[in-house]
Amino acid sequence: MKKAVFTLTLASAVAAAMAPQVASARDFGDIYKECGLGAMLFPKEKDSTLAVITNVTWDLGTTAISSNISSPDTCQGGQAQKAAFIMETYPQLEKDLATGSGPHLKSLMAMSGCQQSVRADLGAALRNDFAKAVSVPGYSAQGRYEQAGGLFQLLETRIQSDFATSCTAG
Amino acid sequence: MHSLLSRLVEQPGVFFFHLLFFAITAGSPDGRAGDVDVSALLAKAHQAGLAHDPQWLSLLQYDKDGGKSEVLTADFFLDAKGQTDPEAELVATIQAVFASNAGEPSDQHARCRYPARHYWIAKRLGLDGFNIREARCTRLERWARFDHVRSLSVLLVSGYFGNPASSFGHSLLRLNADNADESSNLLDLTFNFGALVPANELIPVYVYRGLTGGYQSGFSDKYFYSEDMVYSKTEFRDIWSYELALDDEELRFMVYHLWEIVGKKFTYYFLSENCAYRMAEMIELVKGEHFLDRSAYWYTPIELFVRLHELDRRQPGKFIRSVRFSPSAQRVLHAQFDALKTEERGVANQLIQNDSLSLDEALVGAPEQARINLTEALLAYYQFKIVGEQPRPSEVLRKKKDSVLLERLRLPPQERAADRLPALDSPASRSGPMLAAGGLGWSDTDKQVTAHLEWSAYHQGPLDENGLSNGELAVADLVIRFEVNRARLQKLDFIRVRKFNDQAVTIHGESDWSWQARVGLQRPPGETEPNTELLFSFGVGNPIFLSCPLQ
Repeated sequence: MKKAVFTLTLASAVAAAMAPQVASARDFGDIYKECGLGAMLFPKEKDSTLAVITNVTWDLGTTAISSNISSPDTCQGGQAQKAAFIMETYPQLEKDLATGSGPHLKSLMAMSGCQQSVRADLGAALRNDFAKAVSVPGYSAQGRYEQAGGLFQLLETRIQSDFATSCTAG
Repeated sequence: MHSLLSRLVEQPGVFFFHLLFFAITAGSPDGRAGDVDVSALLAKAHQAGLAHDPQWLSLLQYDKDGGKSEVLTADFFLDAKGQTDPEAELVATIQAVFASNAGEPSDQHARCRYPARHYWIAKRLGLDGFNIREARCTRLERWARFDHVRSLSVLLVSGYFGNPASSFGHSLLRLNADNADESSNLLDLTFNFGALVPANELIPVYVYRGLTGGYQSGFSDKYFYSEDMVYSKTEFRDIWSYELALDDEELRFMVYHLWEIVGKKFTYYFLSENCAYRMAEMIELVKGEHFLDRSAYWYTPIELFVRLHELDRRQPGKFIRSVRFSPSAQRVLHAQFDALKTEERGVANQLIQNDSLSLDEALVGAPEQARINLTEALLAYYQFKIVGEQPRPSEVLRKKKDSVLLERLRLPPQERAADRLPALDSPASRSGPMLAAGGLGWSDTDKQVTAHLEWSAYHQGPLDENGLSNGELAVADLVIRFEVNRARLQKLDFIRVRKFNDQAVTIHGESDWSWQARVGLQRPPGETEPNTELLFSFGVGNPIFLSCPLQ
């Protein structure tokens, strides 16, 4: 009896260790709302007569992810950081994904929570996935929210499907 | 053993004292709070005159006269009179940082909220362990990432003629993480200082309130990628990153103070208490050198950097560790087009010009590398154009961009070669922005020698030592003509701006016009009476560059 219990316990522990670390259930939309990602866009993308003025602090970091100082705990690091980065730097990510390299893609891979050894492969896989997304009719008509959300989802899905054992959950 | 027991029995009082002392020092969480005599510290601080020490006043952000703190936020102060009484604030700070925090969340302890003050007081009073990080200050530790930050840079952002408030440039701070690859600095923490302007503010109101202290302002902390997107990728401004020569203590002290000050509010004055002023204050605090002595009525960003160069020339390597140039996205775009072969550039311009020409048609027969070069240059171009059409870029433009994007995605990935861009010298590397000049001449009319003196409060031009490579900006530019028996105002330009289009490469559709604007007073040519006229002028044209810019 003791041996059977021990075996069952050991098997459960092994199963738990091997199970992929499923990323948090928060999706891009949740993060967008909770962390005020819409406020992050450069004021020129808002309707403002002062659209060109940028030596202006539109807030003191209270409405968008600034850093750990004022963001709620749920908006710090991990998925929230990835979502914010994608939302704000999307055009640069497009460019870096197109070429397959660049500082924004590199930073995104650094934020992925994945080990250094798999980041190149993850980046390459993401590039392929992104190409399929861009080829879909209607991509051009999407707004920043849809496009950024799409890229975020591509990344999370790819991590979960192929790189889960090499990545920590965000 | 027997003799020890005997002594304990014979001298129980002494034994009890030692036991109690041992219990106190062993039981204290950090070994310091329990045995610090706050009264003695207060007396020592008073004796040392710490309350009126320049660094203490700097930590409290007191004005130049030392009469009042410029911080408006009440919770920055521990004493109700802290905004106007530095001694009261010092007393309250010493009492708070050396108090135990039984029952209080660790992060709320004064040492965690005011680490710079604690550090400075403890160091000045000669307390042991002043340099030890407080493990209980978890929020501070998480925010500052002390184990990753290796240095601090102050950034000079070039002027932006698209906005009067940005014409003189901008400055901000960045904490540089320990990245082997500098291109990974997008996640570095950055501190920006600016005015809090309500949405939809009218320009005249903005100008008036900015000049007269009608806005509050403050430091905000964001990741560098946010600032890069604004300054480099949207406003197309160049950036020079000055890595400051700070030792570990100076760096830690600066970070501590940034933690204390970020999010606190000030009154904003565009000419004086602006971004550059606050950056200069921060550097003064840690380096001890004066940066603001010469600023009586205004302080522009470039003056901070001119002062850094001046100090570094006197003590090489003590202020500036390095200066790194980051070109604007527009400059990179032009470099990409410039790098195209002639025939590739021709194809690119045809695609830009001709809406009915498809990418497939244009690239027929083109070798793979040419397709890669072309699509990357075009992608940069269309992204540039889309920025110009924000917030609602046209559907045609977006589709063109995405067509190029898709084509590039179908081609193999390729690490981009470094763009062949020369690193521009910082405009602050040679001389300050104030101009004084003189000249002699001969008047045929009056048959006499004349002299003229020119003085400009702010002058940057293409031929200046501190030049703008592509324009001129002058403010309060005064010319006085001296003759034998009189002196007359020749001209006074309140502001004069010239923007040259100096791009050698032609991109179809890009404007190659240059423009200039001037407002001021001028004595009409040949006018002998001391009359001046108010002058507004505006002009456009095409400059011709006969050679490379002088450097």
